[in-house]
Amino acid sequence: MVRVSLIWELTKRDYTERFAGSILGFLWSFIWPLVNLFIYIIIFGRLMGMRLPGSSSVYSYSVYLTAGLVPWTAFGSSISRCTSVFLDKRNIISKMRISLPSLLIYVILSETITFVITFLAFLLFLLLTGFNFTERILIVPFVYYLQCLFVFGFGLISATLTVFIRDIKEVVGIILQFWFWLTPIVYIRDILPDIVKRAMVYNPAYVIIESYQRVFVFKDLPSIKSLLILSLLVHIMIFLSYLLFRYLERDVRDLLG
Amino acid sequence: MMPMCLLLWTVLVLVVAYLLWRYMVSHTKVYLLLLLDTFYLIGVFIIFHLFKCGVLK
Repeated sequence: MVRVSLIWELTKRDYTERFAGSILGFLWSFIWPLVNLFIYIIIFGRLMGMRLPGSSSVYSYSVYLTAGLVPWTAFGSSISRCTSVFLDKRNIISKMRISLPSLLIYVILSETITFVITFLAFLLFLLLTGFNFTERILIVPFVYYLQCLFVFGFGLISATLTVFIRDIKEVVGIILQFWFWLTPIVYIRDILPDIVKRAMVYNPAYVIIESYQRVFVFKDLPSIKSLLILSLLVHIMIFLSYLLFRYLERDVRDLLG
Repeated sequence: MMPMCLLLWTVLVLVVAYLLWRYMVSHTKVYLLLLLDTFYLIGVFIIFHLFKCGVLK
């Protein structure tokens, strides 16, 4: 049984425990994103003077980097935390009869709070630099939702298998490292060899990250065809991961109990 | 027009999702909600596609 109150309580506790005992407390959740934005915007844009090809704006590369890096951080952290969530919460699982997939939801919600705070600061920066906000920005929450669904499907497979094979947690960490550098976040897609460029459409993280970059950097709507295909594939992945989970659920509970 | 379409589509799907959640048995509803969610996102992106084509302004 999915308990909404439990998911909310875990999310709240997860977020408050991070800063428990510190003087500034909850304020740290605003300071960290601002520090990251400062590094992306001032260091890369102003001090290092990095620009996107064909753009004269001082902040073009900073906006490109932020539009990719902020969603990637949420993506990577959520997958990484989801992978070990059954092991991390084994004390709760052994004491209460709760729906195990709901534990993934709390991780994703907790990471979403950080994402929203950082993204709001980014939007404020764009507003101050005269960015033209139009209706196309409305697609961003749906792209993020699709991203969360992908994390849920991937996370449910990795979390289930990690209970049996602990090495999977480390393997997922390595996959995320490669995945980050295989996705055009800190570099642009055009510098890649043609064969890699063509293969990029099969990288789900690329479809997601590129959607943010299209909206905020190239001031256009993302490729709707790619998003439609990804939506379909993500739901098939969730279906298969749920089947795998249901098949192994009893063993997972026995091992964690 | 486009934000209104998105809103109406979301409300419609939420109502159907609530009814499924309320009246279906445990595991069937998970699969049906997943199917509904697939239709929802596909619908959302089709609305954006129509907006891009200029059908919805």
